[in-house]
Amino acid sequence: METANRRDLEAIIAGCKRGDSESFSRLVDAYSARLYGFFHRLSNDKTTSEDLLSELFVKLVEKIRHYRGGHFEAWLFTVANNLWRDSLRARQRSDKALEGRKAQLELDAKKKRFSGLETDMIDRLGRELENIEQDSRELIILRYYSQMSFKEIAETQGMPIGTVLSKVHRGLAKLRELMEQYSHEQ
Amino acid sequence: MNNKNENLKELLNKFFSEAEAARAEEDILRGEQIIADNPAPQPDARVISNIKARVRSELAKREKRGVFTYLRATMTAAAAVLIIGVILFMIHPAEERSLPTVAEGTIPQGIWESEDLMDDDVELAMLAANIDAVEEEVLALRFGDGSDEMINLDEVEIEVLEISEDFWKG
Repeated sequence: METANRRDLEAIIAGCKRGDSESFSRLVDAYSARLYGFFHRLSNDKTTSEDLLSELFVKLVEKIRHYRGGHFEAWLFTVANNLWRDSLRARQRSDKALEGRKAQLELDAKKKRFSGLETDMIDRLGRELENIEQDSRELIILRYYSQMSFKEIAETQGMPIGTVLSKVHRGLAKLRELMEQYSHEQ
Repeated sequence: MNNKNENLKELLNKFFSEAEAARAEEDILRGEQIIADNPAPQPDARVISNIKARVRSELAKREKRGVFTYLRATMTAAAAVLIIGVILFMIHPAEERSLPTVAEGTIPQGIWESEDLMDDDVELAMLAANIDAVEEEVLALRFGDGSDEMINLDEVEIEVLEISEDFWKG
């Protein structure tokens, strides 16, 4: 996974803090692929991933001033993860509001997803990740895309490190099992 | 810190038995390898260029807001200076003016020295008696039947004015 050169990154962040458009453009180039992957693995939805990616960079225009040094990617992916959680909560609220139509919407969504029209966004891993507990899945994806250590994840998520370890382990063990099972079936 | 720098085995050994830690390490490493082998889709170039355009527009808005905020702050500061100036201008002449004082001579000596004002100052005693009389009338009106209230109130008012004039005439 690509990581921006440390010196370049410092210059980009300093430029962004000054409100320099070119620096933001470089930040987008440096991180959009990883962040898009992060949102895609969490949502398994192309439109949601695009919207969240766009929303994140717009938010960064304001938020970057609050970055006070340290592991930039840990900070960036924590902001991204919070944005994902906010969107999830908003979606849950709207699902509740649409309770009556929910069953029909889910059916439509399933049909659409497996119709082959969006096969580019439905990959095997994406499907299997959906079978893993939500909190384990989030931690696995956060760790993989942000490159945070278990200690950093525990700190940013406010969880004991042992809990993070066991959730990630349980989730990855299940993912491995599901993927291997799938391979044998093919 | 980057997760590549952490010693996973050492970390797992703190929480699991040796056998469990070894299995957990294998599960984690192989699981993460599966994720690496199945990369997520990439965003379209169109999406990236839209994001850059949105960011540019947001930066322009922010800059505009910054200029507006600066102007507003400048105007507020100027208004504050003006208000403070006016207040200072108004306070200083007032300080220079002599404050109204009560000359000792205008108050009867008895008031200063007496233990019982009513006995020592006849006028003050009369005023006090009249005030008591008016007070009684007011109370009678308040608790009365309410008939001819307006007429009685007028009478009380006239009476109060007369008492007041008489007192100050001396």
